[in-house]
Amino acid sequence: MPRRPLNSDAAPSAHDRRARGEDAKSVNSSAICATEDTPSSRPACAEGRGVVVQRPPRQGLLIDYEYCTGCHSCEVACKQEHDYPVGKGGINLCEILTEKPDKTYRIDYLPFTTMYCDLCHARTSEGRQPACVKHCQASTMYHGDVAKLAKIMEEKPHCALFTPR
Amino acid sequence: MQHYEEDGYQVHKMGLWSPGPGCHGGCGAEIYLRDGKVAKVEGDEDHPYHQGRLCPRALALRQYIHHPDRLRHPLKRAGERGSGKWERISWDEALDTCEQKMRDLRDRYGAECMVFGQGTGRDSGGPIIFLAYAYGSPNWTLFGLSGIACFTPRLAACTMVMGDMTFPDAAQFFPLRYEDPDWRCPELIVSWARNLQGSQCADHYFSGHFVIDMMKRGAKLLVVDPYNGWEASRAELWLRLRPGTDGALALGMIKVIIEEGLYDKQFVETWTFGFDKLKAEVAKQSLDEISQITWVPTDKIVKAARMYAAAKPAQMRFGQPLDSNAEAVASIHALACLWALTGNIDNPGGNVISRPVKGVTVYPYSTEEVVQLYGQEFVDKMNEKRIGADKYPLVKNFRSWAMSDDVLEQMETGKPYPIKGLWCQTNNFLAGTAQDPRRHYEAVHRLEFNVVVDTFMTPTAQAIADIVLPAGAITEKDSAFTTGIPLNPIYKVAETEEARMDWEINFELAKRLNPQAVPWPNVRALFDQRLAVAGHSFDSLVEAGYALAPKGDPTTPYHRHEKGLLRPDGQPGFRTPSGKFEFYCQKFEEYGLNPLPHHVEPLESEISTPDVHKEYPLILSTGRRVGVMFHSEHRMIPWLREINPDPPIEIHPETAQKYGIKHGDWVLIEGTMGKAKRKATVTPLTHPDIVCCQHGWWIPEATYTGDGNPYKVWDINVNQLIPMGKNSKSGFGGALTKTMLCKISKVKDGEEVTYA
Repeated sequence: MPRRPLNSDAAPSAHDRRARGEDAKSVNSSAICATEDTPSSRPACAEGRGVVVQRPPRQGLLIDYEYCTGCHSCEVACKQEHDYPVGKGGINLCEILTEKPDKTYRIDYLPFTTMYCDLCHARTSEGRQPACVKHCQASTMYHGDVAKLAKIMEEKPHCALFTPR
Repeated sequence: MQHYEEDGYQVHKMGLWSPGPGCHGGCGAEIYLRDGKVAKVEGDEDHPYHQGRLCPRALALRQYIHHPDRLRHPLKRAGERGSGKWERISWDEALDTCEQKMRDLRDRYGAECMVFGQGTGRDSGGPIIFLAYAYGSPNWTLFGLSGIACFTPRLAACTMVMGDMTFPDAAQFFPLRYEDPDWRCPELIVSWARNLQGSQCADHYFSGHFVIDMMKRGAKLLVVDPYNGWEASRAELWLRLRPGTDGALALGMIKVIIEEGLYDKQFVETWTFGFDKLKAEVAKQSLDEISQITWVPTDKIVKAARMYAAAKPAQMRFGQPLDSNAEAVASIHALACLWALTGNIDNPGGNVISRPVKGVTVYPYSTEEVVQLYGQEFVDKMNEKRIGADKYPLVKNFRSWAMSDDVLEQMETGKPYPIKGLWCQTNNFLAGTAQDPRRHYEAVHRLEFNVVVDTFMTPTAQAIADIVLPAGAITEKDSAFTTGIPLNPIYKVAETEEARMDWEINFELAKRLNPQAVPWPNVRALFDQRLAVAGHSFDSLVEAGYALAPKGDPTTPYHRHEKGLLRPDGQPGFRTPSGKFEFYCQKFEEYGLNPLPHHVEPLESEISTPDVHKEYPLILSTGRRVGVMFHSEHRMIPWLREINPDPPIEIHPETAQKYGIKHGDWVLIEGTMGKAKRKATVTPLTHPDIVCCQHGWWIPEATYTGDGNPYKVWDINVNQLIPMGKNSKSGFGGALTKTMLCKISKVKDGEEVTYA
């Protein structure tokens, strides 16, 4: 997605996330395409027929629901990106109420990735974040390689990892 | 780079505010155009306010802009008022009609006979005062809202007791934000009557999700709210108070902080006035008495006071429900006293004084700013006939709006002079703004000439307008966001048929009505002049993207009272008679108001009207915000209405069971003033003795047949249970949207509200 100035020759602006702190981010490695050669560094496959075709790492969405406030930006961002009509969306915000010992309620919001979530492949293949991740107002969403997301998960109190296809 | 091409789109960066997202502005967005039409909107990652994040209303912008029901041409009435019959006319005919009718009214009754009403504080405020003053009428107001009880009471109280307004410090005044070396993360954030979901994004100088940013950096929460909201569910301590008793609770916390010696002695000694009088005042009432009034247990009041006093720094957000207290300004004074007692004023991470960047004003909020734009002599002349200026010193001296309650009364009585016309711009008072909307309908219906300017055909336009003018949405207008941070440009990049920007409509009409008041060749030249104090022209602001004032400027924190940056005379201190924060407010004393913070019991309550309470045992809390809709907007936007489809009343399960109501039932709400119907949301999050309603509801998809009930407003508008004319003694505050009493029952079969 190269950005070309309309009426100035200024350099394209960097996506500067300096001020966002612990923010939503992509943790992708660069996209790796499978190749069938250079076998020496690869393990043999189970059938012993030779080298494994390396596939790109599985991608997922990590939701740090300790901080999801239920603002619905993810849902509408998804609809705008995919032009989904009413009744259809790639992400669906769920509200879970849990009664605490003192009879008050803990509220958890959890955006659930539906069968229509394609992890914004068109965006991520250009190095951009999925629409929901970028616009999440609480910066609670992370996109990237599942293994790397799992590492982030180890450090947070309440997370869910989704791996939509 | 503010303009670029990407994947076949033309992209322009600008600030968002007003029609489209609604809201009170602040964030930065990228508007993607294809073939000259708005195709999508993304957050601007280079903008310091939200760094790319965006609210659902902005993300649904294209459904708003291209909505088939948008007003696209001027209309004139083609039948009786309210008949639903309209005829398309040209802009020339529309403006000719407005000019001729308004000239005629001015000749016969004087310009003051025309009221210029706006809705909530958005960029149309600037063009509305511009037109009113060019025409010669002093009666610019937020039409319909009793006591102008949204933000203005908070502004008024803070301005009187300390000379300025504050917002919690989230480093929003600095381009580096949280990385700025001078900023400190608060140890404690007090969210007082400030539901995060309803105030989730841009709101003048703060955004709800800044709370989350700071929680991630270690800030803890103390929540004051009757409702078990998300923040309450994450709080270190939650005080579940009775609606309308905020002032009493704050006085209890003040009492603990003073009597336990927890206050910041250096700050109190150096920068405050009237400490002994405040101390004597809070000694009068015991904590147990305060606990009885507020429903908050004594030990929790003590714990909260200690927690707030011990946190260094601590900051406090305070929301609209405070404006609905019976004596709102006095309650807010009490909250401000807490900031001063703990030294949390203009300190890093505390409550920082918030002024428009470099003092730019396009939409003047205070009389001081109005004088800056129009001159003292003209403002003095306007005050001679401004409705409410003689009755309320704060109306005369602080905010140049006519007083809404008195405007309504004068429409009815014609005294001391008759009101004959209403210019109603971006105010849907029959569905949202006004309390006692039936009284408003009848008063306005009797006027000689009414104009409504809006983006959609609202119930208000349908019921009372003679002429309806189509306003441009956010991407169809030039403006500048000056009532918060940062200073953002808004500029026209697209068109929807004949819709015109508010500024252009009012500028053109003002020029016809009083050419001398409009010396500028066009709107952009006017903006160039008003932006000059910030070192910008309109074009340069557009290219800059946004503007913030540098450190050391009087409009940027910190510790400005120490540096002589707040007062016009350049001396250290605050902009008050004593030069200090006034626990004992000398301005209030001068204006005949109680100089000390105090609690006044709501008009109706278990304490003030026990007999009424027996028949109407529930407290009606309306005005509950929801992030996907802004006031009465967005009911027709499919992606947003899907999320919030029905006009709700939230009822606790125990209460619902008691009255035989199930989730999804239509409910009749009855009070001493009137009744309305709502659809039940049964939820344990609301208090068993409180029912919560959203405001601003109408059913845009309902066919209007001219039967006098446009879009079902008379079925579902809960403001029919709330009176006008009970505003606070100060004038500001007292719209009783949180404290009227009611009873509920399941509606009879066949009497449910349908959306057809």
